[in-house]
Amino acid sequence: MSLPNVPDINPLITLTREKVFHLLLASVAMEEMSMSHILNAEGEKIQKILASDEVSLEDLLRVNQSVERIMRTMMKNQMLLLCKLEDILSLEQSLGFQEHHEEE
Amino acid sequence: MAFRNIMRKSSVMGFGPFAAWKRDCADTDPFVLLQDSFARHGMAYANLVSALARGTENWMESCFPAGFSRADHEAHETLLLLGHTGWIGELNRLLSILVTKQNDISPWIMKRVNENERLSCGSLAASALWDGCRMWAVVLCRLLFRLNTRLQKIGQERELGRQGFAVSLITLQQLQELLMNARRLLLQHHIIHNTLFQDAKNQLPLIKELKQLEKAWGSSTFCGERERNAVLLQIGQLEQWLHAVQPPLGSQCPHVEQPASVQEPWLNKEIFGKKQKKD
Repeated sequence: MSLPNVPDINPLITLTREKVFHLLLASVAMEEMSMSHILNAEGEKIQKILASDEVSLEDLLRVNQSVERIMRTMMKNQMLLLCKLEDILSLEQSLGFQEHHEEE
Repeated sequence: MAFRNIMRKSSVMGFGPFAAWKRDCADTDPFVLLQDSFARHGMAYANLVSALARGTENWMESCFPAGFSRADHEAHETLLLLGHTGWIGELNRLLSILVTKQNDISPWIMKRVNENERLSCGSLAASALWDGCRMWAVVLCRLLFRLNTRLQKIGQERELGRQGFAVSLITLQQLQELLMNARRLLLQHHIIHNTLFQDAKNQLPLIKELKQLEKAWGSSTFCGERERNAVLLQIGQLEQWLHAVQPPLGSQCPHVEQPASVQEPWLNKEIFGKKQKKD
């Protein structure tokens, strides 16, 4: 049996700590945005299903179950993102990028 | 400029997802992007809550015609539905996380962007969320009122009465927490009196529904006195909180209607009626 090949990645870039800090923050923002898209899709799903005048109890229960599942997953992810954001922000405080930014 | 250069480099050197994203966002400060993403979350939560409120209202109108011929069946259905709206509890946790994150980045945001930029997207999302939560609050109060009248009609069926009490108390507590979280987000965006959405006038239907619910629970006999008082106390706390967040001074917000009077003491008349009369 063959093993999957991992390409030899050797990025030839130099990133300062401040740039890494910005990239990390941007990664949090990107993840937040993608999750808000998922949530919004869930809201649109509810609107679509429940927009009709004749809404059955089964429809309502099914929609609520789906939202609950998404919400639980979202909550776990959000807690991790909160920890990540706090860690990144503490990085800035400890390294003093803020002062550097103001000097610029 | 420095940030744009990083994004340009990173896309070339294989930071895959950043490549597609850099076109729109490379010039933007990452903190402003974060703020924008939080606002999008707030808007998505607002859409979810208002969609649930509209759907539930449609269902109530189509399934609960006037008359109580199917009281036990309707009570069962309502209990089932309320049991499945437990995700409002999850939403509360998500909202408190959102408030914490917003709070975390606030010092940076304050330094980097001006007042108008800061308020533009976040304030709209916070207002929409507050509005959606109140819409759900009105629908929930109607639903609980209908549940109460159906249980009252059924009479002394202990098991259904106990379920009705538990569900009513829990959903009302969740509702108060939801409104408080939405209000916290509003405060973070400096819209204390939410003049954009005519706060005081919009709050009237909710207060009216709460009064109706309070009256219904005050005369309930399908559960014990302690259970009844616990629900009445929760309703009273919610009413008091709503009175407290209404605009306090007419002179500061002349276009917002001033509430006629604030109830003092705030506890329900049904529980402490005699004490109030003596005072």
